[in-house]
Amino acid sequence: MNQANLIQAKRLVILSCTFLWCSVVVRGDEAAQVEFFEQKIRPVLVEKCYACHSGTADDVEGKLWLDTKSGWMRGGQSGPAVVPGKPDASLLLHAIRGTEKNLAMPPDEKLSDSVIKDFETWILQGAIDPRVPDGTSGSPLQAQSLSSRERWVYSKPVKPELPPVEDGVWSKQPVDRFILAQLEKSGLSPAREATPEQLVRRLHFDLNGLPPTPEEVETFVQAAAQDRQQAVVALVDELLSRPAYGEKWGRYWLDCVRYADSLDARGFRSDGDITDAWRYRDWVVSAFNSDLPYRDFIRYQIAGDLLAQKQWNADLLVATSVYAIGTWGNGDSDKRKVHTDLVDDQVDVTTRVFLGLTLSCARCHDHKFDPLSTADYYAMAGFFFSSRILKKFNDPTAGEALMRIDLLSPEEQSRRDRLQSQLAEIDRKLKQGLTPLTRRIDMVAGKAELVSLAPEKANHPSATMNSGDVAQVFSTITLPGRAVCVHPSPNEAATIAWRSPVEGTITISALIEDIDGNCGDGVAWSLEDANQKLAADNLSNGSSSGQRTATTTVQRGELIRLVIAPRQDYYCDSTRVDLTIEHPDSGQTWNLTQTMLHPSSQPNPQDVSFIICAGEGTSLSGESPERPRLLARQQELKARLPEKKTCQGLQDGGIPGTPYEGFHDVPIHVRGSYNRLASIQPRGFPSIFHTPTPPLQGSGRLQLAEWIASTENPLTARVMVNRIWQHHFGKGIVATANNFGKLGTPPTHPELLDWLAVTFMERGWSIKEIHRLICTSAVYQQSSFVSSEALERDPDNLLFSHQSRRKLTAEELRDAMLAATKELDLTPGGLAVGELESPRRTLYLGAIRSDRTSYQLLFDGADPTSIVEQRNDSLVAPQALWLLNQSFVLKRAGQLAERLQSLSDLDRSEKLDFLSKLLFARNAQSAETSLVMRFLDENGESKSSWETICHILLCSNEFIFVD
Amino acid sequence: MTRIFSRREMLLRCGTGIPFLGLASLCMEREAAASNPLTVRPAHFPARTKRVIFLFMSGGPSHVDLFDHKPALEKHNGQPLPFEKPTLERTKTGNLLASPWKFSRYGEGGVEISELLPHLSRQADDLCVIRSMVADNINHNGACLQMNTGEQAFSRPSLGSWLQYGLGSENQNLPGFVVISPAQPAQGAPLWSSSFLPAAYQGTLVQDLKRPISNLGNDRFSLVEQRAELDLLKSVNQLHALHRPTDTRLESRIESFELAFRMQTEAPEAFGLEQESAATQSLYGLDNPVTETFGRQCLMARRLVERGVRMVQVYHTATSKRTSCQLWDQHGSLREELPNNCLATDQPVAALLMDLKQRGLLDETLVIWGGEFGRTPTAEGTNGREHHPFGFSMWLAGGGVKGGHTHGQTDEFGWHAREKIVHVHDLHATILHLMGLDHKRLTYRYAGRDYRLTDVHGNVVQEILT
Repeated sequence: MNQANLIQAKRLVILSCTFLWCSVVVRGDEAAQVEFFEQKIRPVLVEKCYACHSGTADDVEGKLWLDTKSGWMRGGQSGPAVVPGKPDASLLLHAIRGTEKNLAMPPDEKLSDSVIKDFETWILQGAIDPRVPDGTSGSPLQAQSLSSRERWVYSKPVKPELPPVEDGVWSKQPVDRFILAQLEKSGLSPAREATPEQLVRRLHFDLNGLPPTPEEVETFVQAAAQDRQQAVVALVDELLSRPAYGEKWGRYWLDCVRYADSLDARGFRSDGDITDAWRYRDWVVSAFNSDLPYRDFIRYQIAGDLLAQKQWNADLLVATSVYAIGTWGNGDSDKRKVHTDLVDDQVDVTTRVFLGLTLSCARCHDHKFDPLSTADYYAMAGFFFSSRILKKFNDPTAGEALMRIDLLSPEEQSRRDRLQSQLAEIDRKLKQGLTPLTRRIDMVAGKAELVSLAPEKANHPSATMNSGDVAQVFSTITLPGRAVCVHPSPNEAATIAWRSPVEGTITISALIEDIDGNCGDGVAWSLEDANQKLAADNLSNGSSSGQRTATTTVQRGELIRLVIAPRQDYYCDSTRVDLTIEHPDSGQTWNLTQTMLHPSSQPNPQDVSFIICAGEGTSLSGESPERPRLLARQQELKARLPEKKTCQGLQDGGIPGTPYEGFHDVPIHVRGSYNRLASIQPRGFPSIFHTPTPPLQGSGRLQLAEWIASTENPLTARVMVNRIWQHHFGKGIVATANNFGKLGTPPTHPELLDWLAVTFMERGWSIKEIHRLICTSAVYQQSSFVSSEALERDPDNLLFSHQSRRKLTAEELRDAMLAATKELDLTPGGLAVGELESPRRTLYLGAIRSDRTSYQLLFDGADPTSIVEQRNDSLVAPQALWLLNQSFVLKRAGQLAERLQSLSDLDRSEKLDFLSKLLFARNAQSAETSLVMRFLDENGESKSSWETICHILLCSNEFIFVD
Repeated sequence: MTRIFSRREMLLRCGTGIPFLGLASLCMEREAAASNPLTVRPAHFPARTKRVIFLFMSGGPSHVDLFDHKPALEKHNGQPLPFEKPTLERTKTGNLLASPWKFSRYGEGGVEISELLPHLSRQADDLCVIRSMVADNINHNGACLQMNTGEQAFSRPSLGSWLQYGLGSENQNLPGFVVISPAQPAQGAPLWSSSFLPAAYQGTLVQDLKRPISNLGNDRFSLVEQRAELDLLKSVNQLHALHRPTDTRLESRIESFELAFRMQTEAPEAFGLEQESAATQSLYGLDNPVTETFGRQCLMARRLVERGVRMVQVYHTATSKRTSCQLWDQHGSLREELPNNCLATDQPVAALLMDLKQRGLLDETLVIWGGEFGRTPTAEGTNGREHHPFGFSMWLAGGGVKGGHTHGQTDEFGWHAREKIVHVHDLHATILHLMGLDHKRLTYRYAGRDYRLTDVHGNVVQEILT
C-alpha cells in the first residue's frame, strides 16, 4: 500500500471512530454491536418497516423514518421512536410488542418473540446504528478498517526485487526465483524436470489444445537432447504463432463471459436470440492470436462503440457483444425488473471478469465481506443504465429483441445508402408502366363463379370477375352478375388496357361504378390513349359514372387505358368497370365484360385484347425498351452493395422508453427492488479505490474502460496474469480467479503475482509475453510426478513444488480424437455447428444455454449460463457411458483401426508402438505390449480386435490426462 | 453439514506415507468412495421423509377451478373485481368468471376438490392442500425457474440438485435426480440444473419414455464383449496408475467405468414398466390412451423412488393429443382443455398415491403437486384465465405432512393469498425441512458468497407438519 492510501485509510478509521463516539454512549465492543445491528436489526427494519417507514416509501407513515438513525431519534408524530438504553421508553418497542392496540406494528403480522427480544437487547445496549442517511450505508470503510490483505488487494502492485535463493542453477526465469525461495524456506525441493516427451505433449495441449503429432514429438525430443531450454523456447514461440493458440486461449476467456451461441433451442436464431454471438467468439480468438494488448482488449469490450466513433473499426463494435450475450431472463413481463437484471448481469461481468471483484453482492445490501457498498454498486450500474442492448422493451407478453448493429464503416454506410437509392430509382423505373396481373385465384369466397386476378406478391391491385348471372355478396361488397370489378391498391392504380389490333378512328364507351358504398371515398378514373386523357373524373363513394364516350385515332398496337386510382381512402374501392370499343372502318367491336367472362378466356384471361394491369403508363412494363439495360444495371449495383453484417452489442444511451433513456445517474434500489428507490448515486468507481470520477462523456463507459485498463488500477493486471498462471498450473496464485476479495483464497505468492502483473504492464500488456515467461520457466517444466515428501508436506501443492497432472478439457478430448484419426478440420470461425459428428474443432460446436445435455457440459465444459473462472473437474459414470457407447467414439475407434490397417508393413507390436506415440507421445512399454498381445491372442488379430484396442486407448486414463 | 473429504484430509486419515503401495491403493479406494458426490450423507436432523416426487403441471393450473372453491365468484360472475389489480400484469383481464365446475368436500378432513378430479377426491385424506401459495413472477420462464430454483432470472441450482448435494443418493447405480418430461417445460434444463454446484447433482432428463437414458449400450459390442473390453481397459489404466500412485483421480476414473457398466445393467431394469403386473399397469391407466402417457411417467417415478432415487420430477407436458411446454396454460378453451388435462392426469396421480401407500412407501416419500402459478379469477376473453402468482394452490402428500388438511386461504374471489401465506421460498424451506435439512445451513460458497436454495428468505410451514 502506498503512503497516500495508507494515510487515507487511517483517516477513515479515525473518522469512523469519531462518528461512533459522537453518536452513542459506547458500551463494550462497538464492532460486536455493529455486527449485532447488521445481523439482527437491520434486516428486520428493511424487510418489515421500510415499505412504509423509509425515504423510499410513497407516503411515509406517521412521518417516522426508520431508515436512518436521525429518523428514529427525531421520531414521528408520536415522538422519538427509540431512546438508547431505555427499551421501555422506546415507542418502537411498544409498537412491535403490540402492547398498545393503536400502535401495534407491523400492521399485518406480529414479529416473533425472538426478534422482539433482539430489539430489546439492541436498545438496551445503546441502539448502535451505523447507517448513514440513505437507507443503505455508505462505504463500510467507515465502520471497519482494512485488513493487510485488503490493503494489498486495493493498492497498485509494485515490482518486487527478486528474492535471493540458495540454488543458483535451477531458475530459468525470474518467476522461478519466487517459487524457489518459498520452497527453500519450507525445506522442499522442486520436482525433477518432466521428460521431453511429457513436456512436448503438455506444451501442445496447454498452448494449442491439440496433441503433438508423432513427428512433432520426435523433432522436439531431438532438439531437447541438444539444448533443452532452447528447444522449449523455440517450441513455445512456434505454438504461440499457430492459429490454434487463439482457439485454445480464447475459449478460456469465453468461459469467463458466459459465452453461448443461442439462448434456447425453442427460439433458435429468432429476434430474441444471440444469433451474432459468434462474431464475438471469432473476435476473441483473433485478439489472442494477434496478441492484442490486454488493455485494448478491455477497452474495446467496455467501450468499443465509443472508440469506433473516433476511428471506425467493426471489431470495436463486435467486442461490446460481451454485454449483449448476458443472462437476464429474457421473456419476463415485469420489464422494470428485467431492466435491473440486465444491468446486474453487466455489472457482474465487468467487475468479476476484469477486476476479480464480486460487486454484484452489493446489489441488495452492502457487501457482507468486502469494502463494497450498494452506493458503489449503483454508481457502477449507472454506466450501464446509460447504455443499451435493446432498442426498446416489448409488450409484457413478449420477450425482448436484441438490437442488431450494422457493421459498416461510415464510408461503407454512405456507399450503401447511395447504392440503395440508385437501386430504388431503378426499381421505380422498372415498375413504371403497366404490369399485367398474372396470379389467378379460383373459387374466391368458395364460389366457383368468382375468379380473381392479382399481382404475384400482393393482394392488390386486383380484378374479380363474376361469371354467374346472380349478384354475389361477400364482406361489404355486392358483386353484380356477369361483371368485371377492379380494386386499386393504396399506392397503385388498377388499369384496364386494350391493345388496338387496328388503325384509325375508334369510339370508346366506358362505365365505372363504385360498388362498395359502405366505406371509403370512391375512386379517380381516367380514360387515356397514347398521348392524352380522353376523359377523367372523380367518382364519389357508391356512385356511377354513367356511360361515358370518347373518340380518338389509334395506331396498331397502341394501348387504350382505363385507369382506376384510389383517392384519399384506399379501402372499399371495389369498382365495376365495363369498356366497349368500336372500330367503324372495319365494323368490329370489343367488349371487356364479354371478353373476360367468355369461357375461352378462362384458362388465361389475360391472353386477350384486354389486359388488366397494376400501375399506370403508356406501355406494358415488360415491353419498355429500357428494361434490359435497367436489369443489367440492377445486377451490377447489387453486386457492389456491401454485404449486410450485424453484431449484437452495446450502444450509448439508456433504453428508449424507460426512465433511463439518455444518460443518468441512478438511485440506490433498496433490497435490489425498483419499487424502493433511495438516493441517486453519481456514476463512478467503487470508493475503496479512491479514484475521483473524471468528467464523463455520454454514459461514461469510456472513462470506466480507461480506469479499468489503467496501469494505476491495482487489480486489472493481477487478475489477468493470475488467470494465465491458473491455466498453466491448474490453479491460480489466487485460487479464486474471479474473486480477489475476502472470501476469495489469499494469494500463495503475492510478490510473484505483483512481479508478473507489473512485468505484464511493462511489456505492453502482452499476453503472449506472459506465456513465454511461464512456459519456459523451470517451475512450469517440472514433472507432475509428486514425491512422497512433497505430498506429505504440501498436499495441495500450494508451493508449486511439482506440476499438476490435468485432465483434457472437453474441447481437447474431442479434438484429440479427431486429430488421432486425421479427421480434424481446422477451418476457423463462423456460425457454430450443431452436429457432434462435425470434424470442426470443438470450440465451434454450438452451445445453447437451455441445453444441459450437451457433450461439452458432460465433460465439464464451461456452463454457458454462468461466469466460469475455473471449470469443474469431475470423473463420473455418465462420461464413461458416453466414451463406451457414443457412436462418435466408436466411429473414431473404427477410423483409427482403419488408419492402422493401412500401415500393413508394421507388425503387431509396431502397430501398438504407433498408437502409443500417436495418443500418448511415447513408445509402448513392455508390460502394455504383453497385455495387448495376450488380448490379440485370445480374440484373434482381426481388424475388429484392433478396433477394440483403439477404443480402449481412447478411453484410457493416459489419453485423457496430461502429465 | 458433513462435507466431502478433501484429498488432503483423506490421505491424512489413511496415514501419511506412501511406502506400501497396497496401503496407498486402499487409501485411494476409500477416497474414491468418499469423494463420490452421490455418497449418502447424514441429514442435519432426523428426516421425516426420504425422497421427493414433484408432479409439475406445467403452464399454471387454475386454482379456482380445482382446489380453491369460491362461492363469491358465482355470486359476482361477470362483475368487475371490486378492488384494484396489482400493477404487475401481462394483459388486462375482464370481469370475474365463475368456475364452471362444482366442488364438494371429501374424506374425513373435508378437503374441497373440484368435480374434475374424481380419482384424487378418493385420496383426499392423504392430501395437504395449500391454498395460499404466492410466487413473484408472472411469466412461465421466470415462475418455473423460481418454483425450481428459488430465483427468477439467473442460473441457480435446482431443488433436486440441492437435495443431492445435501443428502447424496441411496442408489449409486442410478442418477440421484431424474426429470421425466416428454416435452420441454418452460425454458427446459435450467429448471433441473445444478448451476454452480458440482455437475453430478444435475437432473437427468428422461424425455423418450421408451429409451429413458442415453448411451446405455451400443450396437457394436455385446455386454459380454464389453466386459472383456473393460477388463483390458482396467489393466491398461492400472499400469498407468502404478507409476502415479499418489493421484487418486486415476482410480476414481477406473471406478467410474465400473459404475457405468453396472448402470448399463441396472438402469433398464429400473425403467422397465413391463415388469409391473397388469393390475398395476391398469391402476395407472396404462391401458387407456388418455391416461397412458402420464400414467407411465407416474409409474416410472414410483419405480425410481422405490430404488432410492432422491428426487423424481414428473412434468405433465404431453397428452394423447398434443405435447406442449405449457399444457395447463388456459388463456382460452378453459372449459375444454382443463377437463382434458384432468382426465389425463387424475387417475395416474391418484394411482401413484394409492400404490405408494400400498407398498409402504408413502411415509417416506413426499409427493408434491402444483404448477408455476395459478390463474386469474377474472376472465381472459370469454373462456380463459391469465397467469396468476398472487394466490394459488398446491398440495403435498406423504411423509411428514398432515393428510386431509387444508392450509391458508385466498380472499373471497381467489385473488390474493390472505391467510397463512406460503411463498415459494417457504415451500422450499419446508421441503428441505421434511428431508432433514435446515435451509439456512444448506449452503454453497460461490462467487463471493454463500448461496442457499431460499436465498435470504424462507420459513418452514410448521402447521402442515405431522
